[in-house]
Amino acid sequence: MEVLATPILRLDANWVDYLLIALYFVFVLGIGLSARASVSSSIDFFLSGRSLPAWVTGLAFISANLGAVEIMGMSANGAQFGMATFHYYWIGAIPAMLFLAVVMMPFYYGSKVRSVPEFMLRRFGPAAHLVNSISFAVAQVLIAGVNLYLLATIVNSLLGWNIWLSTVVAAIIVLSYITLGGLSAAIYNEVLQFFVIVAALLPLTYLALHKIGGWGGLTDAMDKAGTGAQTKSWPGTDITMYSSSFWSVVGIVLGLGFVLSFGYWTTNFVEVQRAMASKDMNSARRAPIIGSFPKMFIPFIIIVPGMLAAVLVSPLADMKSKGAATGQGGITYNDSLLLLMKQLLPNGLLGVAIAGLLAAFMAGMAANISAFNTVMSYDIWQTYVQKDKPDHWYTQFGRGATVVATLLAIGTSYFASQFPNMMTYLQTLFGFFNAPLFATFILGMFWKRMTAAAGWSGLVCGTLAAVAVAFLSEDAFGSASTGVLHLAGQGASFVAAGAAFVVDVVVSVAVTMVTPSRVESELRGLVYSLTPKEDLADEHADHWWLAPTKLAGVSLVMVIILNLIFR
Amino acid sequence: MKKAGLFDVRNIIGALLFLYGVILLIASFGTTDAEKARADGVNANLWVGVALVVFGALMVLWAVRQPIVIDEEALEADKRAVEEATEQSRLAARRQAEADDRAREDERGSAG
Repeated sequence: MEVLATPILRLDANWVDYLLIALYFVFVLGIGLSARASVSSSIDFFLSGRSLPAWVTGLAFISANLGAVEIMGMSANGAQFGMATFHYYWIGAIPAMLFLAVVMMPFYYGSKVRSVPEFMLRRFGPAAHLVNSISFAVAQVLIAGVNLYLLATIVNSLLGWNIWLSTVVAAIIVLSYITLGGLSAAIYNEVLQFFVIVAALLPLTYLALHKIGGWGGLTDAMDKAGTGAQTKSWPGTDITMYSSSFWSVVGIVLGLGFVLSFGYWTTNFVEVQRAMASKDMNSARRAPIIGSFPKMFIPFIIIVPGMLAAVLVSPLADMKSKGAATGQGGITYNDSLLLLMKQLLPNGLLGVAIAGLLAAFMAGMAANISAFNTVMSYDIWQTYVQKDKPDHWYTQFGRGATVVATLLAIGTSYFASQFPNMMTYLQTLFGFFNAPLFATFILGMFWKRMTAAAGWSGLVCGTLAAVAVAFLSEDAFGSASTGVLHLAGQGASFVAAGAAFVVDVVVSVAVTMVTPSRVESELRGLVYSLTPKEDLADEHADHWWLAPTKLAGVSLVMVIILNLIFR
Repeated sequence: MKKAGLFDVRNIIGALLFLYGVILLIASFGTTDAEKARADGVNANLWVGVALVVFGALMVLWAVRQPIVIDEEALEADKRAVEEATEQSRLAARRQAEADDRAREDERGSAG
């Protein structure tokens, strides 16, 4: 076996660490296997059914959205850009989560739609459904590639095997996890990994802050390194790479805060589905709001360690001061968290951290693959290709799809590896897939005249517009970008998302003008004006924390205060 | 009616974190001075171990004190409702696809 010569990244794990990692896998796979052995209604209970108490859905909602990609991506971003990364939470997540809870959730819960493709099918018919299904399947394979690449970097730094071998090993791990564990293991894993990761990141942040002399020590060190401006979150010109502060703020608020974030949160059914499993409308609406409180504070143990790594880890600090994308031994910003862990954590705690990260990437990639699987077998194959096969035929087809998706992910992980900052790549992908979907979704929900033809043509043109902007920018699509437009970094992704949104809306409106509308009776429950109004008001609640709109108000005030403190 | 029992997610979280805490506590006796120095003199394994043992125990205690009760009939009814809704939605899609095909054929017919 070829051993890579990157001693900088090599984690010195010993038997205690391996024991902790092994224990985790025993736990998760054990749940999966015992679920197979005994048909337990308790497991059914946690998997499906709209009967979960608010705390369970709240917990699942929080855990599902602390993905591993987010942990590595956001800490990389924190190391490179500092406090401005908090915008991804305080501007780019909280307002959209509250919007989802207050405005969208009554509608979703009431219409009983269970997936985005299903909404497309019922609102716009087969053409939009097919376009959306294909674009969703492609997005899942690309994002699975990101997860696989990050998982491989951990295997690489743990065992020292080269990145290709690590990728193949990581793919085999995920594949066996999906086949052995099944869906029930996946759901428990998602919640478990959250707790394990917090158990590792909280002490890591504490130790790093302790070492540097607290928050004051960090700001002093950053001042000395000439990056003192990064201890303030606004105007965030480092993130957008716009020369004007004014346009940077506009880019963050409209591009990130509106199009990307509303697009992500209101159409991301992995998370929405968690909330829809609630026992009543009130719990369904409160789940994202309950989730918004930890979401506000989580960045302190993700972004702040990234910032600390850029000061404490000397090869990283060196690379940053030179303004380079890669440093000694081929390290990039994506490695910030691993480098900090290596430097500070003793054996034992190191094992907890590795177990948490491995679990999180596995959970992330497994979710992508099973989403791909469902859409490919049912939404695409059963609906359009081979319609009348027996049920077990599609189950068999699904197993094949899982293997194919894993193989494809090995390919897309190579693509992902070309990006020195994973967040930039992810934002570009969201611009392609989520921004046009959000435009079509929101138009279709609020404008009953919008036609079936407008549904699919808007989606296609919106996606093409975002792809065009990414190719014309300097680096949004890596080396494939041509640099015709002078946009770079995450600012380019914001513009691409904005373009997708605007083009989608313009095309949808234009096409609606020349094509026939659908019959109103078919749209009942799918368009806002045709949904019962009493669903939208708060039900009577005994306490303010039980009333969704009041709880959302508290969350909003808190996030505004946080923005003011760290401006 | 039935209790969620061992599969209650709080029991699973509690058990894993409790075990992690115990392992870290044992490991903390073997933490070398070099490792402590790296962590700025803090024996991190010890303190995180204590915290995890307490947290894990509290999670299990919570699950024992306030068990989740499962209404199995309601669960079955809900599963059936979901299956039915999914089936209906697929049927509707197929019907619409067929209607679209017919409309297209009609158009072709009138054009020719």
